[in-house]
Amino acid sequence: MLLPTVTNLALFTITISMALCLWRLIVGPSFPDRVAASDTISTNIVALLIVLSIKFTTQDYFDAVLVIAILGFLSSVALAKFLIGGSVFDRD
Amino acid sequence: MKSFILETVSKVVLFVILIFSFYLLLRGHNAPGGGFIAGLMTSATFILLYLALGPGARKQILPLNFRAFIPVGLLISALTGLVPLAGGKPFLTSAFGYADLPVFGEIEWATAMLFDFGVYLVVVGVTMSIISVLGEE
Repeated sequence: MLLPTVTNLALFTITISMALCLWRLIVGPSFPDRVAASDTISTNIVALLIVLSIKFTTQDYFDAVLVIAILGFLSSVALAKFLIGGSVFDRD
Repeated sequence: MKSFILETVSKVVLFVILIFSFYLLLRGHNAPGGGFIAGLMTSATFILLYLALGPGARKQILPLNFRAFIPVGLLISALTGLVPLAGGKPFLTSAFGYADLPVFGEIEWATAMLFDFGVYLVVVGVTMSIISVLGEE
C-alpha cells in the first residue's frame, strides 16, 4: 500500500508547484520571471506524466513525455534568445 | 548573437531528436505516433539548427527547398489512397503482413506507413515554410 500513497502525494505536490508557477507566470513583474515560470511548468508536466504512468502501470505516456520535454526545451531556448538579442533568429 | 553553449549542445541533441522522429514515424501505424507528430519533431530539429547557427548556416547545411515538400507529400498520400481503387477495394484501404528481415527479425509492415510518409513530408514542408517566412522577414 506504499506505492499508491507515494504517487498520490507526488501528484499533489507537483500540482501545488504548477499552481505556484502559474501564479508567477500571471503576476511575474518582469519578462525573465515569466520565461523561468513557463520552463518550470513544462518540466512539471513531464514529472506529472511520469508519475501518472507509474500510477496506472503503463508505458503509453513515455513518447508524449519525450515530445513535451523536447518542445519545452526548444521554447525555452527561443524565449531566452528573444530576451537577450531582441530577435529569435540571427540576422547574417 | 551567438552562444557557444547552445551550439555545442544542439550539435548533440539534434541527432537524438531526429532519430526519435523517425522512430515515431515507423511505429505510427499501430502505436502512438504517426506522420504528423514525426514531421513536427523533424521540424523541431531544423528549428534548433536555425536557432543555434542562424538562417545562413542552415541553408549551407540543408540546401533544401521545403516548399517543394508540400506537393510531393500530397501526391504520395493521394496516390497511396488511389491504389486500392484499381483492385476494386474502397478508397484508402490498407494492407498489412509480416516479413523477415536479416537483423531485425520478424516485423509487421503496413501500407498505411506510405500514407504516413506523405503526411510527414507535408508537415515538414508547411512548418519550415512558416518558420523561414517568420525568421527572414
